[in-house]
Amino acid sequence: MTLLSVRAMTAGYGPVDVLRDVSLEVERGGVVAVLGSNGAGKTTLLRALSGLLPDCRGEITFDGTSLRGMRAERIARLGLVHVPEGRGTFPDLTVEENLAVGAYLNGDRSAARRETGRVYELFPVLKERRRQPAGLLSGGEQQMLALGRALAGGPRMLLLDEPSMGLAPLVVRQIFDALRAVVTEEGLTCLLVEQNASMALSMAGYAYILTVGAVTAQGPAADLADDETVRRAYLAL
Amino acid sequence: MQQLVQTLLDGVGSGMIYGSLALALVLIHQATRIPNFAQGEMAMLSTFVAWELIDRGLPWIAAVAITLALSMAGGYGLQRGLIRWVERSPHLTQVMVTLGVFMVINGVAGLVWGYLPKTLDGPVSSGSLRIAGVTTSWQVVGMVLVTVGMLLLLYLLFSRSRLGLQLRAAAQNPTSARLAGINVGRAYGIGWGLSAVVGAVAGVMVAPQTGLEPNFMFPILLYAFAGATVGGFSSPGGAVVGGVLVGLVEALTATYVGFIGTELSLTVALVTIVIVLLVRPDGLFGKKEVARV
Amino acid sequence: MSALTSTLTRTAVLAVMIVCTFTVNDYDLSLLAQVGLTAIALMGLNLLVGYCGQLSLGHGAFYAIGAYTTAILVTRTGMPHLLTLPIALVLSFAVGAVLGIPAVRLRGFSLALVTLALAIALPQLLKHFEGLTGGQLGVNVPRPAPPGALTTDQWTYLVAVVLAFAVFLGVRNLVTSRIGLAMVTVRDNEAAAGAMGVPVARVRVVVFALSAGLTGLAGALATLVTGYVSPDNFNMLLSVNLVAGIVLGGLGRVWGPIVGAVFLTYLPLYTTDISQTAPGIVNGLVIIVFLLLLPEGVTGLATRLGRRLRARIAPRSTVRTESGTGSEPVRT
Repeated sequence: MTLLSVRAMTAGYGPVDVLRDVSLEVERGGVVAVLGSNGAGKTTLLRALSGLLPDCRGEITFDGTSLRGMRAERIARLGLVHVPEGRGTFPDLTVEENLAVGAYLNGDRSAARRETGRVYELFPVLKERRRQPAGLLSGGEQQMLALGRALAGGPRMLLLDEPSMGLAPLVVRQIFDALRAVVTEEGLTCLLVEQNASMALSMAGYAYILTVGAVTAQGPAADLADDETVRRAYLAL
Repeated sequence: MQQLVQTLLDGVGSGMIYGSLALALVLIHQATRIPNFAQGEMAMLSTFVAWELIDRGLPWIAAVAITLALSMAGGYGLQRGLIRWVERSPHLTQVMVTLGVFMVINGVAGLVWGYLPKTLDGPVSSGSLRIAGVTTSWQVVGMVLVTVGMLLLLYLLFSRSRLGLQLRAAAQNPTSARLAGINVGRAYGIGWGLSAVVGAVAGVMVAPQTGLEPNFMFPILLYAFAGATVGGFSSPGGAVVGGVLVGLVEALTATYVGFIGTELSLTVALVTIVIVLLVRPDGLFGKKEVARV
Repeated sequence: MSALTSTLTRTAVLAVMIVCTFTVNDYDLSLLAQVGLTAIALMGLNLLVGYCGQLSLGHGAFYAIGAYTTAILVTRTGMPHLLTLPIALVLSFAVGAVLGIPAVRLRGFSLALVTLALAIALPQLLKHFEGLTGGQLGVNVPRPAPPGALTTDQWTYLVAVVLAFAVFLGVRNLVTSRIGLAMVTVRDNEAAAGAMGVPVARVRVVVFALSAGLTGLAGALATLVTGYVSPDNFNMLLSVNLVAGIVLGGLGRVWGPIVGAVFLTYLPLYTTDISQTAPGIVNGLVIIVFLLLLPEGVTGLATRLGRRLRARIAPRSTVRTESGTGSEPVRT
């Protein structure tokens, strides 16, 4: 069953269209990767989906609800949660408070407490540092916190923007392991935007390739990983 | 000795008022990066509303409660109706728009209530009390108690409550806050509403001593800005401490430095601001401000 | 414009000013004098706000410093009125420089803060030094004796408008010069200006002081015109009114202050019938409405309309004359 569907979306900043006529679908419980080089429009795609771009044309539906013209905070409350690239944390709030802000997306307190506990299980280092301001965390810990904050709200689908960006390989593995655990154990749906194509394809079931704002290839992740052109362009093999 | 203690007490009393208004300035500055030059006039308007309600026969406490509610709504409405349209404008534009608000409120108050000073009663009798040989007025005691109580409430609101956390999140990272489901526009509006309430409390507390007329907040606004400068514009607690320090400096110089007296008290504030900017531009408790390029 | 036409224009403007002296009645002349001196104050403030991007809430205080300088020198030392004008200018310039040094190198609104403090504190200071300033009551200043057959109003009018014209030409030259370019660069991108070797802090201090000096000169002229100074005329509202004047005229436009001065001078005549506070309310609304809807001010709007009109009349030639129709940068 389709959870998120995008039809003929065109979006950008002011007069400049960054995305042209993009269509994609994400199945419930599936992980879909969007690959592309710098400037292909990957971040713009996620910003359009989460309502941060006011003028985007085309039809976006999430679980049967049209997101057209909906404000970012309402989309988040529907359970479609965007984890922005880089540091999307609140630097002066403690780790605990950051997670609490995320957990407010949960209707009730017991769910919030449960999800927060789950985040601490996934990332024990966050529990150790829960009284520290987020601004003092390392880059990897910030990324964990950003992901943790999204998870604490009990999302129905995550939009992940380059979770591996600028992080050491070991930390990237840690984050992806946690993500994989959530996906397999809880069936969380993800749209994953990455430059680290091999990592993304190893997790995703299906993938799209975005080139200069348009979808130029798509298919099951395994097929794309074997495809010669894709391997040369994105996997640097 | 007794005179010194009394002077210090008076200084703390008025310093609390300056600290409250300084806090209102810092709250708005923290949330929206705007120094709100209309803060004093907003407080003046609230105080006139309270006076009007009392004048029409409402009991003091009811009048003030209604005033605070109206101030909340007014601050919220001002942000949502006007200030939001300059959120993305250059800093200069934002500051000038608050000046426009300043002028409009000042003029409207003059139009409605005129420039003859009015008397606003305080919540407590104007009698004095003696503790351990020191004479002070109930008004000073009341001011200190009310302000401390208000600060405590604000502290609890911002550190413990869900709303407070959301307001802080919205101020620090608006985009992430929206992605966490927070209505940032509403949060800014509430921030302005809260600081209007804090200003209203300051106005109602200080008016019984100064008399109430449309320009009566000018000096208080100056002391408040001095307090916020001393404490640092990035530190709410610092603003309160800064306000108290300014109150103490004012009281001490008025009593002990002959040529200053009460007549040059505003110049003391001016000099304080200049010195702090020269010596410690981010204030005693402020963080170094990173310029927005 | 060639040197010849520019000389002709200047002569023509002066001729009109002189003709007005003898054809307009004294009351209207005193209003025109007010326009001239207000324009000088606004040109000073516009240099700071419009070209340098810094806000002063204390220009009313510099106006007061100039006004009191003239008042005190004339009444105490019997100095000729005109001689006091340069002294008022220099004194305001000096106060501006002293206050500007701590204020301008810091955070965006430090200057606004310090000048706000000055504006609020100054009336109290003026009242305090009663021996010098006449305290609460202020000072009555004898109006200058006019030369020849002129009336006093004719004479002060001439002094005000001729000085305003001189300041106008000076400011116009300044903003098109290298210094003017440095100012605009500092306003638009401080970091880039610094990187290009523009001494950001020095430019700001100098412009602030110059702007204070011009406003002080305007205040001194005001004493000549009104013959009276009093501390409560120079409260903070005066400073904000001046800001309203340049916002209405158009920030960073050479003609803006002239339009603003006409507005500030004539507004009270038409609105104080409604209420004493009406001009203040109007000025507050002017600031808000113009910044939201018409940030380029009246002169900017006029330029835009004029350009469109010309484009309609002579669609082909506009392309070539385009550079000459803009208000910024300006030709001499």
